[in-house]
Amino acid sequence: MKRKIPSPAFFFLLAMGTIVFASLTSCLTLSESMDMLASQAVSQGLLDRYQAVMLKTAAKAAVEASRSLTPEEEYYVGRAVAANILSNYPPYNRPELNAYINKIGQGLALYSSRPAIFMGYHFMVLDSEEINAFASPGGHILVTRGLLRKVRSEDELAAVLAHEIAHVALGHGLASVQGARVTQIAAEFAIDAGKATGGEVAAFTSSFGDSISELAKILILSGYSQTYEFQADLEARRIIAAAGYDPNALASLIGRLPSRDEKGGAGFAVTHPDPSSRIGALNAQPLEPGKGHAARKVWPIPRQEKQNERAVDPVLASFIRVDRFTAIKAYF
Amino acid sequence: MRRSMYCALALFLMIGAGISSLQAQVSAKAPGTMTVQVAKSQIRDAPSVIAPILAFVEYRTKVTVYESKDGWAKVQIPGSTRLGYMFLSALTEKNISASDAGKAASGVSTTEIALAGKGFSDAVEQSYKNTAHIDYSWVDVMEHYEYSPETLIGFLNGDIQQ
Repeated sequence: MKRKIPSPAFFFLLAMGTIVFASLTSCLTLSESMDMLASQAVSQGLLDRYQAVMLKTAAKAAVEASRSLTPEEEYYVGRAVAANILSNYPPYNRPELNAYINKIGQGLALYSSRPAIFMGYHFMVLDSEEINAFASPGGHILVTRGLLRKVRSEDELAAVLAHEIAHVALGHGLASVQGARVTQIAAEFAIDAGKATGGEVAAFTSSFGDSISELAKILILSGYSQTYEFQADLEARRIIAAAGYDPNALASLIGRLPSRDEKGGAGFAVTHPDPSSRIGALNAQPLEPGKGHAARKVWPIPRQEKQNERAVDPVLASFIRVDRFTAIKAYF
Repeated sequence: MRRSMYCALALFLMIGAGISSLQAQVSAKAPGTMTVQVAKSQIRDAPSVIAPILAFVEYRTKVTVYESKDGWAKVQIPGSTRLGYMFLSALTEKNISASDAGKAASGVSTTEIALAGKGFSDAVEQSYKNTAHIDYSWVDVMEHYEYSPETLIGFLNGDIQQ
């Protein structure tokens, strides 16, 4: 049997009509528009039911493929990644030290390109000799004692934390997992939770677990791409400068980190580009004028607050930083 | 038969392209409605982290944004005519609708609504903890270190009282 096929021009007009209709009703999703269109096409004899079902399925798949993780889902992925790293590296339970790095880290995050993330930035020291640091997509930042021991000032510590904050703020974590895997878990997260059965949760847990393992493996073994590392260095230098720390602290710390070829060059040395190329990349792109201390104007102090404001004395502030760093260094 | 399939595919692509360009146009307009994309955020009296807090807004709340500058958005406090400022990075132009409570709200039990609101991620986490034997206790410990922006700015400026 041969059915009369309308001209492509007809399809074009029908498509345009649907777009106009969708824009008028404003909240139709692509999937809903396709459902409606497919039903119309069937009633007008343009498509048979099988073709209509195929069309609807294709539209649904396209919508799911384009769906990214919601901020809440990203946070849960981050929690799982952090839990994985904390099962590979023991935490260093020194509340004074962890409070200190959280105050510096959370303070620096205010100057990042993404000061507000789902549950905020959180920091913890790992009891490991390895020189390493990790950042989960949920803002969980872990730094080893091995790396802390390389640090000679609060400015350099700020540089370490700012580099990890930059990875979170720039969204490097999820961007490093293979696209298909993120799409898969994003699509499965979209299961209507009100109707999710125990079986569906179990099935999703399995692919969720695979994605988490993959992400943890990237962070622990291979690290981010060189491009991401250079981006994080530039952003870290901007953050510490804006927060009133020495922008050169990042390069001076990197200069003391072991290179890939050196003995004991595990962790950072393997997961990061060679120190000389990182310093080269920083020098190639000097800090823009006005991105230093003056960037404090990003957080202007409102007029009514100014009356109560105690003037910040940079010299006194730097003395206090030196004092408290010397005291806390005993825990490294 | 085959030609009709091609036509259907062409139609699908045209509509997809049309709708995404429409969405792009909508998102390019600065003033409009945005959605809170963090668990909780403060709306302050002025664009400064040390300005007085006027209100709190939670995840998925829609707010009207009048302007945005230097990382701050000038917004209308929901349920009020008053304006305030919040972090622009706490807001998104995307519609956060995945497995949302609204979808489940018709004809399902309260437990299911609760599950839909937040519980699916929680359920997955519980299930993952049990099957993969992963310990989250230190993640919970680190999340307890939480300081106000006022404390943090003071600390960075070398305030010994912080």
